[in-house]
Order: sequence, then C-alpha cells, then structure tokens
Amino acid sequence: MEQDAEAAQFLKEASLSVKKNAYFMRKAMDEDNLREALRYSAAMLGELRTSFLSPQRYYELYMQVFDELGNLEAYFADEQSKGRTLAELYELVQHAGNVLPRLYLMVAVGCLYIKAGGARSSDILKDLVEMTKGVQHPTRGLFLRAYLCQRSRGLLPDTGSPYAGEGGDIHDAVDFLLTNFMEMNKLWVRMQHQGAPRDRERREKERQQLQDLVGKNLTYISQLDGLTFELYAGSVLPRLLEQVVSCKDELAQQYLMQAVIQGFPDAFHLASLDALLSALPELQSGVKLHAVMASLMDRLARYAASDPSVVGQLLERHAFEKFVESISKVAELHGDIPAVSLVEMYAALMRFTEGVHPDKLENVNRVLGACQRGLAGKGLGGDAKAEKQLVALLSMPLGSRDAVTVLSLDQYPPLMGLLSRRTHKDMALKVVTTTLAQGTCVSSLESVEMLFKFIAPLVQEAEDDDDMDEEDIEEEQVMVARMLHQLTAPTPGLQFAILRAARAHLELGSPARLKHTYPALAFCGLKALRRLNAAQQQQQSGAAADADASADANGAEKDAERAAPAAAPAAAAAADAAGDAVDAESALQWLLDVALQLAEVPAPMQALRLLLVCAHVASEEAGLEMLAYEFFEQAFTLYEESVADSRHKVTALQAIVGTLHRCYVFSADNRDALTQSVTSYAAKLLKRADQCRAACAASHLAWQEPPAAAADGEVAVAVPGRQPPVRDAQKVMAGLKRALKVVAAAKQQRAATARGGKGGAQHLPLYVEIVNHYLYYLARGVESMSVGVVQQLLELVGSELSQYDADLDAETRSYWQATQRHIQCLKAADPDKYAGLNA
Amino acid sequence: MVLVLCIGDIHIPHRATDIPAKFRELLKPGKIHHVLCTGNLCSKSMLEFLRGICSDVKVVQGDFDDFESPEHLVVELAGFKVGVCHGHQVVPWGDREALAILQRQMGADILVTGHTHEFKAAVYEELLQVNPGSATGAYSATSQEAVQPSFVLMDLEGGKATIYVYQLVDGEVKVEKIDHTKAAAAATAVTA
Amino acid sequence: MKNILGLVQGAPCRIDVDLKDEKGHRYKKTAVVKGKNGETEELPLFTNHDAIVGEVRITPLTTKRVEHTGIKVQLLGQIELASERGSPHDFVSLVRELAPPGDVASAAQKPLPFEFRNVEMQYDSYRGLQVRCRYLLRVSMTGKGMGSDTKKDAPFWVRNYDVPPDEAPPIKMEVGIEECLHIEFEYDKARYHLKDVVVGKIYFLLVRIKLKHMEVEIRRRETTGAGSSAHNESETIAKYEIMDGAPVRGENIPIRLYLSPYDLTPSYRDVHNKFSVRYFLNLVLVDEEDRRYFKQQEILLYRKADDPQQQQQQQQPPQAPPSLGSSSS
Repeated sequence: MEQDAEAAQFLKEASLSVKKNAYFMRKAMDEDNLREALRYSAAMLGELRTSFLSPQRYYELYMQVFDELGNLEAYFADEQSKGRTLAELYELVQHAGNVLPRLYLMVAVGCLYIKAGGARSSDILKDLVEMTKGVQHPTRGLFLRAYLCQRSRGLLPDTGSPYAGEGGDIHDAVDFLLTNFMEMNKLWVRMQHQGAPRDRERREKERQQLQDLVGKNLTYISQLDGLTFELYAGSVLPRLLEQVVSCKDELAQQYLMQAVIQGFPDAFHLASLDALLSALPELQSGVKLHAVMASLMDRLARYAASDPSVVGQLLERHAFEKFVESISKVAELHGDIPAVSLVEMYAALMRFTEGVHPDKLENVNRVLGACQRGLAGKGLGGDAKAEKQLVALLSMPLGSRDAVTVLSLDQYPPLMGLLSRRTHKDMALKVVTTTLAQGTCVSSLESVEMLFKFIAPLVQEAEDDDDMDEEDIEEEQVMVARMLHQLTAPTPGLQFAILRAARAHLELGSPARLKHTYPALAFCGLKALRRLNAAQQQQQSGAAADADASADANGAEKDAERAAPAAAPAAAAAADAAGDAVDAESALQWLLDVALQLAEVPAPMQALRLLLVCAHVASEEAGLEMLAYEFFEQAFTLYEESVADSRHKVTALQAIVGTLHRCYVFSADNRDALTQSVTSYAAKLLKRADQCRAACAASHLAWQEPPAAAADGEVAVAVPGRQPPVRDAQKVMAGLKRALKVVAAAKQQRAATARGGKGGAQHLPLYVEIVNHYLYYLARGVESMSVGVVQQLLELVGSELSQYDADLDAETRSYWQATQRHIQCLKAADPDKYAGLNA
Repeated sequence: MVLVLCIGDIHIPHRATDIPAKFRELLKPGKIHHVLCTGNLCSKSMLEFLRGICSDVKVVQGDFDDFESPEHLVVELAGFKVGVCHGHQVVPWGDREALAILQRQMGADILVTGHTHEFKAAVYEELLQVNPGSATGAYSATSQEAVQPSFVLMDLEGGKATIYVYQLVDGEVKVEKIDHTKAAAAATAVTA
Repeated sequence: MKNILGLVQGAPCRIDVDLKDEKGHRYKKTAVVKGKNGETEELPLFTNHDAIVGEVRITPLTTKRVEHTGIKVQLLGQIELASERGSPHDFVSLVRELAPPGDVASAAQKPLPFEFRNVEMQYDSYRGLQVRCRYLLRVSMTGKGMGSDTKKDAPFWVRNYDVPPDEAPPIKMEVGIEECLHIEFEYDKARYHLKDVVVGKIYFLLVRIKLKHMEVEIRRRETTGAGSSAHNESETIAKYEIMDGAPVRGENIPIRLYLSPYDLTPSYRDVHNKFSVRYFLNLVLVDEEDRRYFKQQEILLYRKADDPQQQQQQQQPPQAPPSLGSSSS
C-alpha cells in the first residue's frame, strides 16, 4: 500500500517533469531552436527511463509523452521544409546520449523520413527494429516497440502502398512486423522471470495488461493487403509458431495461439490446419490447449456455418480426424494433463462436429470413445470441474438429437460411467428429460436396454441414496415413470417384451422407487393390452371384410399408430409372428404380478386400485371371468389385510363398488360371492354414515345399466363371456333397507349418547340421501320401488325432520329442500307417474 | 367476470407423460382466477403446475391420488355455488341422476366432476353438471375409445355461466362454448 | 584594449600581423578551436608544408622618435608540457628579418611582408590536459627601451590530413568473467576518421548478473615522457548509452556511435618524443548494484580531409594494428 502511494507520487512527479520539459521543448520549437528542442525532448523522454512504475502507471506516462511527441513530429516535418534534411535529422537525433530517448526520437524522425519519401521504407524500418534492441528492459522495451509499431503503421511497404516498390515489398513489411513481434514477445516473456518469486501472481497480471501491445503486431500483419495465403503459410505462420513454441512461456503461448487463431482469416486456418495443430503438442503443459483448440474449432465451425462450401473443405481436409489425432497426441505428450482440460478439448471437438457435421453420428461416437480412452486409467480424479465439463460434453448430442439416436452410440455409457454416481444421476435425469421433452419413442428392445443402462442410477439403489428423502425420490421417479409411456414398440407383442425388460430393470430398485414407477408400468401394460385386443379384432374383421380392414384398424389402433407411424401393419404382424406374440391372459397375468409386487412394497392402496382397473379390463376387454374374479379376490385380500386406515377403507370400497358395478362378465354365483363380500365390508365401516352410504352404493350392484357401448348404439364389441346386466329389484331393496337400518341405529345411538342435548342430528342427512336413492330407483323403474313405498319413506323422513327441526343444520335443510324440488320436477315431468308423491 | 379453470384426471405419471404442449401454452399464469381440480393429479408436481397457473387452487381427492384432499367441496364463485367432487364415489359412474343426488346434497348450482375422462356438460332439472374430462387424455378403463384431452374454462358473471370446452382433437385445440343461466328456483326455498 | 593599456604603459607602437593567401588576399581558412572553459576561438588554419605568407604592420603609438635595432618575425612550433610550464620546446623555429635597425616611424610607413615557404609542420596543433602543441608567428622589435610588449604573438592552427588507411580487420573479441558474464563484442573497424561512425555490436553469450545498462565511452589518454618516467593522463570524452535493461543470453545489442559531436583529435603516436595521444573505446556494463565491468579497446583516429585535394602524401605509414588482448577466460 505504501509502495503504491509512493509509486503514485512518483508518477505525479514524472508527469510534472514531462510537462515542464514539454513546455521548454515547445518554446524552443517556437524560437526555432532545434538543438534546444532536441535537448528538452530528450529530457522529457528521459522520464520514461523509470523502473519504478507498474505497467498501468507507465502507460499513463507513456501516453502523456506520446501526445507531446506529436508536437515534435510536426516540428520535424516543418524543419524539413526549412531545408534541413531528414537524413541530417535522423543522424542528429542519434547523438542523444541516452538510449531510450534516442530511440524514441529515431522512431519519430525515421517514420517522417519514410513518409517524406527520403528513404526506403524497408531500410529505415530495418534500422529501427534493429536499433531498438538497445532497450532490453521489458516494460520500457515493450512500450518503445509499441510506439514503433504504431508509428510505422501505414508506412510499411505493403502491396499497393506508396512505400512499396523502391521502398521494399510485402516481405519487408512482414519481416519488420514479425521481427518486432518476436523481440516484443521475448521482452514480454522475460518479465516473468524478473523479480521475486512471491510476486509471480502480480507479475502475471501485469503481463496480461501488456499482452495487447505484443498482439498488435499480429493484428497489423493480418491487416496487410499483400498477405496472401502463400506468404502466410510459407513464412508468417512457421515463424510465428516457432517463436510461440520456443518462448516456452505459458501465458505467452496461451495468448499468442489465441491471437493467431482470432487474428487471421478463417480460410487461412482451414488451409493451414496441420501446421497449427502440429504446434499444439509442443506447447507448455500448463497452456490451456483446450481453450486454444476450442477457439480454433469454434471458428471453423462458424466459418462453415457462414459458407456451406467450407463443410466440404473441412471434410476434404479431414479436419475432424485431425482434431481427434491432435487431441490424443497432446494428451499423450502431457501425461499430467488435467482431466478437466482433456474433457474440455473433447467438448470443443464435440461442439465442432455437432456444428459442422450434425448428420455425422459416428463422429459423436468417436469423440465419446476418444474421450473415454483419454480418461482411461485416470478417470476424472474427483475433479468437479472435469465432471461438469463431461456432463456438458455428454449433453451436447442430446441437445440436437433425440435420445434414442444417442442411445445407439455404444461409446456413450462407458463414458457416462466415469461420472460420479450423483453426476451420473444428473445426466440420467437429463437423458430422461430430453426424452420427455422431445417426445421420443423408444421402440426397440435394444434401445430400451441401452436407455436403462444410461439411467441406471435413477433406477438402481446405491449407498449414497440414503440421504434422499421421500420427496426427492418421488420427484426423480415421477420422471422415470413418465418416460415409461414413451417406450412404445410397433407391435403389441414387442411392446410387452419391452415392458418386461423395463420391469426387469425397475425391479432392481427399492420399494420406495417401485411405488412410483410400477403404476405407470402397469398402465403401459394396460394400454398395450388394449392395442393387443384392437389388433386381434382387426385381424378378425380383416378376415371377415378385407376391404374395411385398414380403415377400421386406423381408427382402433390409434395408439399403435402414434407409437410407430412408420411401421406398417404388415411389419407389425410379422414382428409378432417372429416370436413375441402374447395373449390377453398372459398379459393380465403379468399385470397381476406387477400389482402384487406393488402390494408388497407395501403400497396396498396403489395395488388395490390397480387390481380393480385390471379386473375391469379382464372383465370388459378380455372377457376372462376367472381372471377378473382373481383380481377382485386379490383386491379384497388387500382390503381386508393391508388397508387399515378407515378413510382408505371407505375410498377402497367406493372403488370396489364402482368397478364391480361395471363388470358384466360374472356368472350369478361369482357375482353373488363378490357382492356379499362388499356388503359385509360396507357393514363393517367405522362410521355409520359411511356404512349407510356404502350400503346405498352397494345396492346398485343389483341393478346394472346396459354396457355403455351398446347403450350408445355403437357397433357392439363382441366381448366373450359377457353376461346380461343384473336387474334384481329384491336385492336393491334389501340394500336400501340395510342403509335404513344403519340410520335407525345411528339415531338410537345418538339418543343414547346425547340425550336431550342439541346438535346431534347426523342421521337426518342420511335419511334424505336414502330418499334420493329411492327416488332414483323409482325413476329407473325398479319394480319393487313404487310411489307408495317412496311416499312412506318421505313421510317418515318428513316427520323426523320436523321432530329435529331445531337441530337441523343448513346443509341438511338445503338438501331436503333440493329433494323436494326434485320431486316437483319429477311430478312436473310425469304427473301421472308421480301423482302419489307428496313431500 | 370470473374465470374458473376446471381440470382434472391428469394421471401423471401413471397414465400419461405430460400435459399436451398446446394446453400448456393456453394455461399461462395471470389469466385465470380460480382453479377447480377434480382430482387424480397423481403427482405433487402437477399440483405445483396448477398453482403456477393461479394461486387459488381447489383440489378434491381422486381415487388415484396419494395425497390427502377433501372428498368434495363447495365454493361460492360470482354468485354461483360450485360443487366439486372427483366422482368415483358416485355409482353408477358418471350417471346424471346419481350425480344429481350429490348435487342436491351439496346445494350446488354447478357440479364439477371427473373420473370418466369424457367431457360432459348437462343441465338436469335446471342445474348444471360439468365434467372437464382428462387434461392429458389419460387412459381410462371405462372408455375403450381413445380419450381426447380436455379441460373446461367457466366464465361466471351475473348469474350467467359460459362454459368453454377445450379439446385436443388430432393435435389441434378445439373450443366449444355453452351458455347456461342459473336457475331462478334454486335460490328460493320451497318450504318457508 | 590591450593596446590602449599599452599606450598608458607607454608602448611605442602596436604590431599587427595579417596573413595573406597566395593571391595576396586576406587569409580565410580558419579553425574553430575550443579553449578553456568551453570558450571557442577562431584561428587561421594551416597544413604541413603550407606557405605562411603575410605582412606585419607597425602603428606608432607615440610621436616621440623611437629607435629600434631590428624587427623580425619568427615562426615557432612548440610543445609545452604542463609539468615544465614556461619553457616550451621549440621543434620549429624559423626567422625572417623584417626591417633593419631604424626608427619605428619609418618602419611603420609601409607594411612589412614576410614569407615562410614549405614549412615543416608535421604535428597537429593540440590542446590537451597536460600538454599542448602550438604554432605561432612572433613579431619582435628589439632595441633600447623595448620591453616584452614590443612583441606580438599570432597563433595559428595546424591540421594535417591522413590518407584513409587500408582496410583493417574489425575489432572482435570475447571477454568475460567466468561463469558470470561472457560477451563478444565487435567494432567494425580499428580506425576511424573524426567524423566517422563506430558501428558494432555486443553479443551476450552468458549473463548471470543483472545488468542495468551498458555504455560506450571514448577515452583519450595523453602520455608524456617515456619509459619509466612516462606519465599518463586520461579523460572521458564521451559517454554513450547503448543498452537499457538486462539482456539475456543470445541477445545482440547494436552500437552506432557518431564521432562528429565530440571534440576529438587524431591519435598521435609520438609527437616529437614528447607525448602521445591515444583513443580508446571503453565498453562499460553496469549491474544493478552499480558494479562496473568494462573492456577498453584502442582505436586509431585519423583526420580525413573534407576535400580530397587536401590529402598530403607524406604521411606516416599506417601504424601496425594494436595487439589485441585475448579473452580473459
């Protein structure tokens, strides 16, 4: 800090001195005293001889002097018009005793000399670039040469320039800039080795501040009109690279390689790729070659994007292959290259090939393979950055392609295997997300197997999953479960094969995972089963009426179509014939297995409702009574043994009743058996209200509506083994009676527990509900349900309501009013039928 | 005007991968005032999705939901009493008269239920019943037909309900409009 | 003013010397010579074997009649050592009688012409630290009552021109301090004329010290006496920085030193056995601790005529090249 203040003070004083000398210099110029003007200019320039300033501050001082030199130059130009030749001046300024001021003056006069046409440009430039070697101090030398570079701009014997011809040619111009560049680079590199080792960091920072002074030379070379590719490749590039390589300085190599890549035209790089790449292995091991290569590859990729013909040239020159080779050579030579750098190089290569040859999948595979080989033995070494890069690399192919295509790359999983489990998992999630986002269908067994290899960490257990909470697992597994719907084969047979394969993988996971994935797997199976049925029906109807077949099939097999639009029905049939044929029974058997495994998780509710869906499908789509029965039985077992929570029991029973009501496959005996179980479950529910409602619901089991499809008058699907709808008025009435008994019991219980008290009229809404069911059945024409029966109940309920009027809550009151309104509506609609009803 | 989204039977991840992209585009935050969900979201992430559309989300319990929600609920919206229930509890499933029993019990001007995966809007005894169908077109055991994804948007204002049905048919969104006026009788009690 | 003072002191006359060229016009060739304290004076300039022609004018300062016993003019070439001040050694001494004894007034009636033809003036005029070589015309009037002030010295300057010597090999040598600093330096020539440019370079073979800068000095060494009684006096005529900063091995530093701005004379090997003047280029390297490392190398300076006709043919034969020291390591 103190040093800093000192330096600031020093700069202030130096700056003052510059001002003072510049003043006298200008004064001398006004008086036309050349000798004095030179004397003061040398004194002014002498301030630049300091070693005390950091490059930043030195630059400030330099700029101040630079501005003043402008005045001097104007004066010199004037001197010439007064008859003093610039040749004399050029000698005169060389009498200055100190080398730094002398050289600044020489540059100033020398450039005027060229401009005035008094001397050959190349002669003066050669002289200047040589004499400036007198300044070996890095900072001072760099600024002096920067001044030379800057002042000589436009005075070079470039092709087409007025200074060419007599004054030299493009080769001289190139030589000049290259020489200056090399000298500057040497100075710049030397800075690194001067001063105490502990200041290394500061020095590097200071050097970075100076890098553009060095790079300017290259910029000017690249801007020469006469710079042809031949000249570049034949002379400029080899000399540049020689300098870059031989300076053995990381910072310089890093910067200069980038400067070369950024500075010269794309076409040059394209044509001189070999030379550029061959320099890379020779650079210091600390140079970030990946950044260099990335720049090069990115440039060429952009070039290709702007000019389609470049793609061809890149192919012709085997650019990709060269990059592959170059990277492996670099890796070989720098055995200690950090994994992160290696991966970054391959990531850049991946970007290149994806940008230039998006169609070349084999390139992607080669990059993956090469990267994997490069990392073989050392792995990522636990470097989080390397891992991040690898994820980026692995993500790239997923960005532009669907996951299935990427899954076909055999080099992908081994490389992915290098990731830590956690990252591998992130990557796996990315694969899943991509598949989901792109709606990719994974339609072959091989792809499915590969996919699960990719996402193994999501599916399988590992020790470090312990720290995952329920929510994390859910979030993850929901993704996997969603993806299962994208596993869609062209034929139902193959579909089941795929689902079986998926299950084999999912099974490896913990129950906590299965809970989320198995329901999805099961529904995939159900969807497949529906396709299977549709396909079979199509075959049958196809046999019957060939002409209509294809149209029907298109309608019926919508899912199949969506899954594999390209697959023709013929191909699908062939695939099934090839051995993966499956029938509904085995499919349902498989679903039963899945459901039971889910029950063991344990997830009884999930298993139970799945069993019910399967039961319905077995009944209504497959017409397999025994299996349907089996599903119900298994569901009942779960209900009895595994569902403990009373609310769950209510919900489960609702589902059982609703499903059974929809099943038409059962013989009377089987149906009775199932219904009896339901009735007994209903009676055993915890709350009277639930018992009552369940009894009402169960009453519907004796009164089925005709199956929906037939009712809508569509072509009836010929489901084998379908029984006619059950219409048993007796049982309906019995069911409702049970409900009434529950209410009566509830009323008594209330009376017993809350004698005289208020607020205990829970049985009343149940009464109203039962009234509504009576009315429902009356409307449906259930024989035993006459207006008289209903009227009797209405009166009972009416009197109950008035008895408990004080306790009546608003809901029940409103319910009763709504029921009365309903009755009025019924009467209005059919006065004859409902004449006897009076609310 | 009050815009109410009725949506349900999403069944992600059990039966479907995602809400159709075209629906997602329509269901942008900031337009809808209330969401009534008929249940069977099946994953919490879908609940989050709904909450992203509008902060006021009411959900009832579906038969495949593993998180706890009310069996049914009634909300007052723009002068309408709207009842919501998943519907698997009502036997026979989707039956108009059976649902009417529930509707009377709830005293609802509009009853929103799901479960059948089939859009339906019916007026029974001057009361409106709406089923928004399945937003994902999820597999349904009861319907052998391929299910069309659908949801309903209700515009409630001054005793008038305009029902917009959004259906995805062959990849295109189709909108139908149904007008309904609240029954005058519903407001008056029969017994004094 | 001196004359006026002389008047007060009663000097009988003033003596003026006017030099003429061959055609009888006023002599115009002059040399600007640096004197002490940076002053310069302008003196008539001659070369060996030139004719020195002119006239002396006597101006009486009194109307009193003053008798003299004769007026003469001497041409003197003197070498004067600081150590023996006041007793110069005349290596040329010529005399011409200007007027026979008579009175001053009659001598003043007309200019008194004189003439020295083909004068041997082989040594250049020189003003050094401890020695000088000078030429002068001394007019003296003798007689009764004549003091030292009836004497007039008119100095003039002699410069001789050398034939450009034959090509000589450049000076090239490798010097150093073991394991510390090895350099090779090269001056393009061993001989330079006074307006010449020294061109050379320094090649750093090994640098293990941190140098700060490097300069070339031009040193002049006067030697008087001979053998064991020889006395040397050196002076640095020029300091010319040629490098700023610390080079590394392999660097080449160019030298280009213009000699014209400096007050140099040719090298004088042996002036009348009295003294010699030699020049050296001294390469000085200064390290960060201000230690100086130097290597001195003699160069021979000669005067080249601006006008080739001025070259004289009877110059000394070229001197043998100086023995070059070998590398110190």
